[in-house]
Amino acid sequence: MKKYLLVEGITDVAFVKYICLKNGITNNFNDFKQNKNQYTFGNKIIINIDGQGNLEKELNFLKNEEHMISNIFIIQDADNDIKKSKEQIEETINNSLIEKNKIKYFLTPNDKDTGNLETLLLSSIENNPVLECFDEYAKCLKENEEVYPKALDKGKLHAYTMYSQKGENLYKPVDSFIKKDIDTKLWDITNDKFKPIMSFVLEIFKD
Amino acid sequence: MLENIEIIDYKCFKNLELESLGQINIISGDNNVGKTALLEALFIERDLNHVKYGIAEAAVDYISLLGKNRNINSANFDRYLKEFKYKIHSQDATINFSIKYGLYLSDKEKALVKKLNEKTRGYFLICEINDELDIISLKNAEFYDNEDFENNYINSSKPTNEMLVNLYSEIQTQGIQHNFLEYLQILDKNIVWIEPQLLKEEAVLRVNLKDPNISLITSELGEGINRYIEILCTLLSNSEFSVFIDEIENGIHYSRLKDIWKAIIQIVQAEDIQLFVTTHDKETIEALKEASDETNYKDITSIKLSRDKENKIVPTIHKYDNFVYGIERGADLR
Repeated sequence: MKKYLLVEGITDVAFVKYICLKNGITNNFNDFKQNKNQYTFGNKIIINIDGQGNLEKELNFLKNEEHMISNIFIIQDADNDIKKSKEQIEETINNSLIEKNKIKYFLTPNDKDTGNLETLLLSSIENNPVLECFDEYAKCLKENEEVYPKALDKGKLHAYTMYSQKGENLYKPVDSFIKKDIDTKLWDITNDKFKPIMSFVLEIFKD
Repeated sequence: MLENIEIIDYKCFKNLELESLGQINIISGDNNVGKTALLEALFIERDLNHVKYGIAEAAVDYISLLGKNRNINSANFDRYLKEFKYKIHSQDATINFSIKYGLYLSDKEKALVKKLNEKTRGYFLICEINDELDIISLKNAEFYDNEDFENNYINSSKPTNEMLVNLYSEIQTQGIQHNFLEYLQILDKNIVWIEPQLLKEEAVLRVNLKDPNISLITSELGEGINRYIEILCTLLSNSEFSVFIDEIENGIHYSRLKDIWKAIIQIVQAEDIQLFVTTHDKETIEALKEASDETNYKDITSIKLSRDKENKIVPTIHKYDNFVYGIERGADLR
């Protein structure tokens, strides 16, 4: 029986793979075999659904092979309104007609606050000069024009990964965990902020 | 057109239900999950539905054909028949074959045996289609070994010269050689004409190429062109019927798969054919998706067979939209 984890984008995939690596589930970052948006490790499969808007399509697809699936886990961003995000995801799950107790979801950053993967990752970083500079930059941006909060979160993460280590390595967020088989050490997954998502991910991969 | 079928008992299947079948049905799955067995079950259902008289005898012929594909011959046919079971239910018919020893025949079956002036000794093959019953003694059930028998089932082996000549002969009978040639040139534009020839007492198909000095028989050409000729002849001579192809990709180079699918799509639409194919090849499945994109053709169903945790064979069925979505996002539909 297969276990699926549906995530919103490639950075989520990299983060989950990093959690698996750091917890000894995999030995190598690329133990997950990639075919387009699907990453397979034994009977566990991560799917990058490439945006929340594709969740319905993905669940419709998986409905056809429900008899071969033990569980489906979903990680999505809570965005600006966690209550609304919960309602939306539950509605999509209900409409899929997949047995409800097979599906579990987690809304980043911590399944209770607003935000997204970027805010979760950045919440683990303290006293970083790059982030302080970015906050000034964001303040300036907001004073001059309306900017979507999600864009600022993405920009901030990008600034952190790109300028960290003096910008020598030009890490994009997706490469900011492991690049060319080397741990970038940009993230400390033992940080308490990661506890909720870690326990969700480990529930999927523990057996 | 077959839309749904329930295979209640056939080889590895105990209760396999298929719904939402399309015009083109692509059957995939790991080794030993029954892809070919499923193709056989569908073939018997479709073909036997058209038999009006002597269904038991026809059933023996179909079983012979399928047995032959699995290296059964007249020497071991009796044993093969004795173990043969087939029970299916579709929107068009309920078909049941069973083998019974004479002592265990029902009164109705015994009466039928009497009518045939046979004694109720030995084994019998009992065929039931809906409420119609027919019976044949296994001692009269001869292995039917003829190359030109039933030309709507293509097995996974390379076709022989004799098979190709028989198939092409049907194209000649129908007077559609030019139509056939147009489709053939999709694979090789250098072919200008094709004709049967008796060569040292063997019937062969001769292929004439653009270069006037080159004329070859099909067996001198690559396996792909032989396979494609077999597919084309079979499709074009089975208008408004069903065609079955086991391991469609055999011998065909991956770079030609899309064009071949495009030709197949064109033919099944023009000739109103329902097609069932098996494959375990990712490129074949992806080429079908690309061909369907380019021709805006959507009547496709993908059926992937796999074993569940109880080792039972179960199908995963995707209609066109999900089939396309799955391929695009990297799902393994093989």
